[in-house]
Formats: sequence, C-alpha cells, structure tokens
Amino acid sequence: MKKSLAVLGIVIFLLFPILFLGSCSSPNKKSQPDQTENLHKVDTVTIQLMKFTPGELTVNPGDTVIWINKGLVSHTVKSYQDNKFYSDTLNPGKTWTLVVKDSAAYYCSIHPTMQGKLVLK
Amino acid sequence: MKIKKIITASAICFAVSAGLFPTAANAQKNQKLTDPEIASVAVTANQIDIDYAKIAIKKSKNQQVIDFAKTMEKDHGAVIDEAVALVKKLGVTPKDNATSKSLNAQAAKTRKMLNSKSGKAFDKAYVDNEVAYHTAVIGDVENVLIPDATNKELHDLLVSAVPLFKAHLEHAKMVQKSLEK
Repeated sequence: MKKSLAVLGIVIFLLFPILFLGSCSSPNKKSQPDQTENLHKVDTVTIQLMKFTPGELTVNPGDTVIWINKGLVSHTVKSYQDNKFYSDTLNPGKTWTLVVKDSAAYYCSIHPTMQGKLVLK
Repeated sequence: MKIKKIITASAICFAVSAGLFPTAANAQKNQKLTDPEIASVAVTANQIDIDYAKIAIKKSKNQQVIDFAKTMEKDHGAVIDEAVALVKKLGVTPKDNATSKSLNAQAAKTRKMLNSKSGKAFDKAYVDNEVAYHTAVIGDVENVLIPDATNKELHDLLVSAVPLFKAHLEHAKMVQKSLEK
C-alpha cells in the first residue's frame, strides 16, 4: 500500500510541470487569431523638400497612411475630389493619419504644385 | 492687349537676364560672400518678399492673389526664423553688405511702384514681380550663396530653401496664368 502511494506521488510530481506548462501555453494559442485578423498595414508619406514621398502609394482598403511634415513650412493634405479628405494645417514636425477607403489624388492646398496619389490595389 | 502682355513679359525677362535686378551676383561682382554676409542677404531677401506680400494682402481684392501673398508672408517668415535660429546657434552676427543694401534699395523702388497701382493693374504688377523676383533669388541662392557658404548648416539651410522658392515660383506662374484669363 505504501509502495503504491509512493508511486502515485512520483507520477503526480512528474505530471505537474507538464500540466502547468500546458495551461500556460494556452493564451498563446488564443492570440493567434488576433494576428490574422489585423492584416492592415501602416504606410508613411514624408513631406520634405516640397514633395510628398512616395508621390504615389499603393494601398489596400483599410490601410493606414501617416503623413509626416519634415519640411521648413506648413502644409496640408487635401483630396482633389471634394469631401474625401482634408487634413488640418500640418506645421513642421506634425503628422496626420488617414484610414484609406478609396483611391484619391491629393495636393497641398497651401502649395498647389505639390501633388500625390493613393492607389487601391 | 496681347502685344502689351508680350512686351511686359519680355521686359521682365530682359531685366532678369540682363542682370537689372540687384542680385547677389551683380552687387557682389565675383567677390566671395562670408557666412555672416550670406546670413544677412538671406534674411533681407526673405523680408523683402514678406513686405511685398503685406502690400498685396492690404490692396488686392482677388482671393487667389491674397491667398498666395499670405503663403509668401508665412513661408518666408519661417525661413527667416530658421536663419535667425541658426545664426544664434552658430554665434554669427548677420553682416550688412553691398548685396543686402542693393536688394533693399531696389525693393524700396518696387514697393513704391506697387503702392502706385490698384485693382487688376496692382494684381498683375504684384504677381509679375513675384515671378521675376523668385526667378532672380533662386539663381542667386543656387549660383552665389550656396557655393560661397562655408558652414555646413548654413549651406544645408540654403539648399533646403531652394525647393520652397521653386514651388513659390511655380505657384506664382499659376496665379499669373489665371489673371490672364
């Protein structure tokens, strides 16, 4: 009897770390669907030397684009087609973010010779 | 009317090409500018365009001309702020020189000319002058100020200002074209 109790104790002792580690690893399995759900990417357009770089950006619907003003002066980001998007005035060092829904050609309303394009895949 | 426009445009082109604007190249006559002198010329040239813009904001009734002038006032102010911050950092005092004096003397004549006009004649004179002035300034920054600048930060500030002045020139040409309609 004593012998069988000792064997049971050893079995429990050996199985405990396996069960414990198994329970710890389960949250990792749960996080996997989150990674597949969030497929939208984030792109950056730099405003510098009076240009939007890249001038043309290809994106998927739902992707995020961040414009960052690294220039000397203030700029805006405005779609040619009315009501699509129009940023606030971006002072040097400031950023503006847009979740892209549609293709659009845009320009800086302060410096109308500065132009860019968002193209949906 | 068309002939008059051609003559006016030709006169401005001739004035620029013949060096009648008091550009740094003419005023300095191949004498190399020092960094303090370059800083002074840069601030002076930007301030002159701000002063033209202030006249336009006050006198023009054309929204496109007013918007352009407001952009000139703000952008050239930003370049001056950068230049002043840089000379403070470098411990350099902008030094008045033949070029900056010549620029100011010519600017006084231009302001007088602008103040003597009104209505559409003013809009045309202001925008034509902006095209000619930016053309001349870009030439001087690229051919005189940038090559003469010895301090790297001053050199880089001038290089970064060139695309801004070129965008202003293209913008001025856009406004000029719309005034012709």
